[in-house]
Amino acid sequence: MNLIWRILKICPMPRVKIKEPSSYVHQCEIKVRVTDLNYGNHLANEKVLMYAQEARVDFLDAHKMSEIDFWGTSLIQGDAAITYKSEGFLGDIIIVELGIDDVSNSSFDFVYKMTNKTKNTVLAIVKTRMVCFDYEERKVTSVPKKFKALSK
Amino acid sequence: MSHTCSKKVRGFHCDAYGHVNNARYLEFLEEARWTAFEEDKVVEAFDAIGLQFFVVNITIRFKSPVLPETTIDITTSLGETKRKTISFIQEIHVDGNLSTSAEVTFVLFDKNTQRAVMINESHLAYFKNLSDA
Repeated sequence: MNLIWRILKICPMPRVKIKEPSSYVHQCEIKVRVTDLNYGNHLANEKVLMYAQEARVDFLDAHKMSEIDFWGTSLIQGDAAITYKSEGFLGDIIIVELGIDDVSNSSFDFVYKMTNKTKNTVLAIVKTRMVCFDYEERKVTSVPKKFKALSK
Repeated sequence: MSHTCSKKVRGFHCDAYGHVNNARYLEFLEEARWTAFEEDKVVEAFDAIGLQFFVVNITIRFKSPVLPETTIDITTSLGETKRKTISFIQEIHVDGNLSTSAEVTFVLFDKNTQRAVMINESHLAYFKNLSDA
């Protein structure tokens, strides 16, 4: 049995509870590189947040958008929560599914389900709170209607 | 009581948006934890009894961006402990202003039994310099 699964079996109540969305709207694949590993010879914990950004940018690119040009505004990250479920190793293929949740006037959640396709395990669940922000005016803006439509 | 260390942010820590990338904060926090543990010889002590730290959860809140050439102060203190988990509260300050706060939760993993162990007083004693108690 995978080591992390053993840990989780013993610790069944992780501190962070991330609610998964009812569906995911995008997915991409990331291969674990040698530079993604740490001294434990497994995927470093901070790389998971980088994978989330990679998936987010890939999703935005699919809609011809970016973090800077998000239907006329920009995105900044307000917070993040990560629950680590299992390990990743060199060459593993990670499927990152991206969902949208909890859309409010000026912010929303991206939820990322990362599955280790090679090991057939869930790697991590991540949530990032994205805030719509006008860099020129230096103020929070409304979530664009076109994006809201996507999230429904 | 908390441990504080300082670090100068360099250009290579920053991303295309000109500020520290959100994932890089996790590296800063990890470096600060290792520094705190190193000074108290925590890693050697846990290694001697066959225990390793495994991160199981991280929550992080980004209050304001950190720019290149800024000196940041990172504080680390003991947070909540539960039956099998132990948390550390970490904050990044710039000129005394809070930039980032995080809670990082670990289990202590026994290399021999390959299981997470119960947190006990003897484990917590190693973190007395990071605790208010």
